[in-house]
Amino acid sequence: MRAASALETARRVRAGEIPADRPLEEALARAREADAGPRGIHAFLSLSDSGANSHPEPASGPPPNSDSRDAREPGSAADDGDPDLTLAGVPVAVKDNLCTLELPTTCASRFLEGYRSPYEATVVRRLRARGGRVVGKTNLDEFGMGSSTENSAFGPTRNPRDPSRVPGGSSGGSAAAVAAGVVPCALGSDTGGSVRQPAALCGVVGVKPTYGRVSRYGLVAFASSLDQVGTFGASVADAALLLEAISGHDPRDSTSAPLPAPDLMGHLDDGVAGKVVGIPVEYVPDSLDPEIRARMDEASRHLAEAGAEIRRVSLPHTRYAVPTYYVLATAEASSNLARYDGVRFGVRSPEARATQEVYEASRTRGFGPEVVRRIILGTFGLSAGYHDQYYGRAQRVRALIARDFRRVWADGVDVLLTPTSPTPAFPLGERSDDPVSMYLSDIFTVTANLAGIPAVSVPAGTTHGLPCGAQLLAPAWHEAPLLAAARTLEQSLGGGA
Amino acid sequence: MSVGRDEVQRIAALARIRLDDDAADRLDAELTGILAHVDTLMEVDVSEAEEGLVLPPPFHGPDAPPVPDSGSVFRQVELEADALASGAPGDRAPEWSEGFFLVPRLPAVDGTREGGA
Amino acid sequence: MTGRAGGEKGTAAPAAAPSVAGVEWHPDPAGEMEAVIGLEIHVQLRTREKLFCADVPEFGVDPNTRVCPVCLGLPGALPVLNREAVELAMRAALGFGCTIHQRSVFERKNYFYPDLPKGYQISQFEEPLATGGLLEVRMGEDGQETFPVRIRRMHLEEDAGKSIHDRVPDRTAVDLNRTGTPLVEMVSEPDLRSPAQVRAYLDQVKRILEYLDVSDCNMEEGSLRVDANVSIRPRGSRELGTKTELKNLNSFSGVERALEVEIARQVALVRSGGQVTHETLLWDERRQTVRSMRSKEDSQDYRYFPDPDLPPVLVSPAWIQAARDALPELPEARRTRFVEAYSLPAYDAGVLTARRPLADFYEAVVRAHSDGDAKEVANWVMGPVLALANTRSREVEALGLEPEGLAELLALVSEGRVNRRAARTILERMVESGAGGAGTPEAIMEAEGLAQVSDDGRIQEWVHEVVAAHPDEVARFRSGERRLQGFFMGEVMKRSRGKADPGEVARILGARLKGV
Repeated sequence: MRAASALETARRVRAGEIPADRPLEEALARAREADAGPRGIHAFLSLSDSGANSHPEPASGPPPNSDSRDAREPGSAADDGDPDLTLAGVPVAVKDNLCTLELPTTCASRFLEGYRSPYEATVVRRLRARGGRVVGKTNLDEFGMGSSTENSAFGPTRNPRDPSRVPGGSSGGSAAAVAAGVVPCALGSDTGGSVRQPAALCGVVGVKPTYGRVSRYGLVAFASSLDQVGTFGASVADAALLLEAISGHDPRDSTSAPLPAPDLMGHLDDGVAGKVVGIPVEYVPDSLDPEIRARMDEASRHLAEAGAEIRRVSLPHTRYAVPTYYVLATAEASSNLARYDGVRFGVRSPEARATQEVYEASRTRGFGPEVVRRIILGTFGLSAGYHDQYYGRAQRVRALIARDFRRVWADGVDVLLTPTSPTPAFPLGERSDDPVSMYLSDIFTVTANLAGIPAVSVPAGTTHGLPCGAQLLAPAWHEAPLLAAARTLEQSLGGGA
Repeated sequence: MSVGRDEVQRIAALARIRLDDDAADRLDAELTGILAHVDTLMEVDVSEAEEGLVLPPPFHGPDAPPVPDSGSVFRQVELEADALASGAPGDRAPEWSEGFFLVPRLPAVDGTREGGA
Repeated sequence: MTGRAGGEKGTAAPAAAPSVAGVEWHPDPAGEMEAVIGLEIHVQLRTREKLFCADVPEFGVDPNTRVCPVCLGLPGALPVLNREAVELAMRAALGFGCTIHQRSVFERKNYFYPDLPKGYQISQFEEPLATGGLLEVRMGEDGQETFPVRIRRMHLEEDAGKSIHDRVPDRTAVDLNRTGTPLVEMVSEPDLRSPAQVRAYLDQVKRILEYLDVSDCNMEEGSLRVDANVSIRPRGSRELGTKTELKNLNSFSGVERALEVEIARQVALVRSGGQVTHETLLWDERRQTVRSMRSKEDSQDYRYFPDPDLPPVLVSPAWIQAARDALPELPEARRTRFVEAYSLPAYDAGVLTARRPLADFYEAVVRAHSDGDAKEVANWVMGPVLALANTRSREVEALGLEPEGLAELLALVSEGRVNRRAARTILERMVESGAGGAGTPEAIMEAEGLAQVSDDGRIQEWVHEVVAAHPDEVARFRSGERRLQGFFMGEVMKRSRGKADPGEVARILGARLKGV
């Protein structure tokens, strides 16, 4: 039995039709079953005790911040009818790079094996404050670095739609947990496509909000100027429900915008009538897989039938997005990952006899090959003699990529439609030894992170018998019309019950 | 451009990562491949690009959210220190004694390293 | 820290050569070489909370008890800027005449050290908070000689923790209580030419910081830390030689001594045909020597880049103006005002304005002693009051002496109700008893019977007794040994237990010794 929708679960719990703990217990049972055995998908790195997370605020902890919403006692089934408990009883899977108190936070890294955070991420507190329940922590590419979830120190996650294939990444565990029906919605993080690409490959909905829309406090940083917590849902509505719950200003994150959480649910059915949908030519190159092209054509036809005007547009700096992304993301990562030094937490190699050896032994043992590769690349791009050529230049190209989008919006375009991924889910192991081809998996998704704009991947049928995702992008802070367009597409393809 | 094994080793030392020669050679080849791709950035005319952006693009231009009255983002007075809600600072430390984090002894500077910056 | 990779040589020659004040000290007997010195001063700001988290730093508490996820650099924690730190940094920068920039940017300075939890220090680099200040430093006996020192920049940054190397065998112990404490780094241009100039500059910087009330300025507790860059060159040259960086300078006298040693080392090196190498040297206070700290392969490459966790610091012109308006009067201005308003000699004004609390105390006494003489007040404060403070190893403001109380005492003197000598006794009682102990000066005067005696009869009596007791001295006096006048005065005052009006005593004594 698959998870009921988040919306329906919360309604029934609020109404007292089912006990608040039951959806969590059922999700835990499904999670164990889905992950079990050699064909198990291995979506989770740790699972909650069913009783452990019914108390959203640990007695020892202070209120998380001044946001009154967080400080409220959300309670249990007894709170029936509280309309603020939008996630009442809803089981949520949480990517294991978001800090939680009860469960370890490992980032799928040897370095953090068994690490327990002494505080909780703002997004986790918020989903609990809305009545949501953490089912467990999901697998990922180590520190979010990868596009297949194969770079997990604890073994890869498999795609529920074809267990011989990857679920995409880096939030592969969360995408797989939703695709397998374990949970109706999940938290991920998206630095270059890490929510949208696995959503596309697993056939679920994945949203990356505007940079600054959701707090990063407690999200273990990969690339701070690109990271954003995103949500997965079995439907647009479930992804939106979770996103609305975690959005809004957080005084603990200086890059969190001082804006209230957007009303997403109230605009889900706004449709696209009268809207202008742009299709950037750079995202449908001649080399694009014809089946993906066909799915895109269908999607644009559906949007047109729903009343949108379809227009071809150009984002001329698109081809520079992947190199720009890899210079900037790795530069920031090389600095963000300097704190893993084996002094205050994490692994320390017993043979280390000098502090220099503590660092080198801990880091060399603790980090997997992709993390090492990116730290070296990022350190290189910032180091004396290369700084201006790489980091400095990439910053300026980033500004041009953002300007491309601004010009399109200024021309009257409301939403852009593109493929999410240039390929469907690929077999495990296929790209492990080829970093450049792996990096190119992100070719359609990194631009949204560079420009900081919101984007969503919606299931758009299948290619080669595997899920295919359509990506929609919108101007900064325009999540509501973005998700309304996503909902339109979903419904026209028969999804989102 | 080609990076070279020595340069890879220099960078790895800066990042405090130990590489044996095979690993350095492999990374050299990989980095050279990646940088060939990255070097396409050299062809971009960046003369019109904005400089000095610190926050990502959503915080600039017509879509930018309101700037706080103070003009800058500051900690709010009521924001208390986020206590170490579970346990003590040393709970996660590989080596901890008498309230201190310990590492193998560094070359001493009169007992205490006072100069922080 | 002059470049991304650490500059090998400074490039900017000072636009204006400093005047000659304080360059009498010659490291080089032949006088052919001169030293070129620039200082980096780290000033710990006395904010309530740390720079990027809400921990309250305190000196001397148990290790690692003033820490939180942010300053421990735990995964996922993020910095949020403390407004008070920006406020104090702006005040400091304005106090040294710097220009405050409406936008400044925090960057990450990346290096590994066990007491640097994140593996980077959040500092400012390309776009500092303030630049372009100037300090006219006074030197010499009466402080009349001055030389200019340009302030290149003042920026905000976070402090590191402490590494303690001698506590646990074979281990370095790390305490992160200090981590994240706000610092202002104040970088001078290489405008200093001698250790003595450096000392004068440091004294003046500290004085100004105290006036600005931005820091505890306590070197022992590390709230003021100095690094020096020093090179030598042929006197008169405009070029800058290769510099060394001196660290671990734990006191102002240590700075002076370390520079003397290092300049002498460089001069000897160059004169014997050697070359100075760019390196960081540690001052060894115990051995009075410098030694090299970093090996070459670890040459610094800090990989600065803007911290993506922190938006630029934006300060409005209105805020800058408000900070400027709120600046306290600085020592130079106060010194000038003291000379003009109170008709004090420059020397007195210099002594009284050396510390803000002392100057405040002086002015409070002058205000309370409104019909008195400001110079008289200065004499009392600089004389008996400072002497009392010195013997007790305390600052004047810590003596428990109320300015109103001192003013009252001076009023008793000027009204002729106590003489100076008795007044000093009363002052001592006032200080011994502390605030509110023995009551007002008048009460002490009454209780101790110290009121001045001008009564002719009593003084006649004492004089008579003294003359009668010392016939030999009287004879010698009368035969011309006039200097015995003082002896007789002293004897009479002793007999009066200091209470006699000295003028009256002199008059009556004079008549008595001369006559009959």
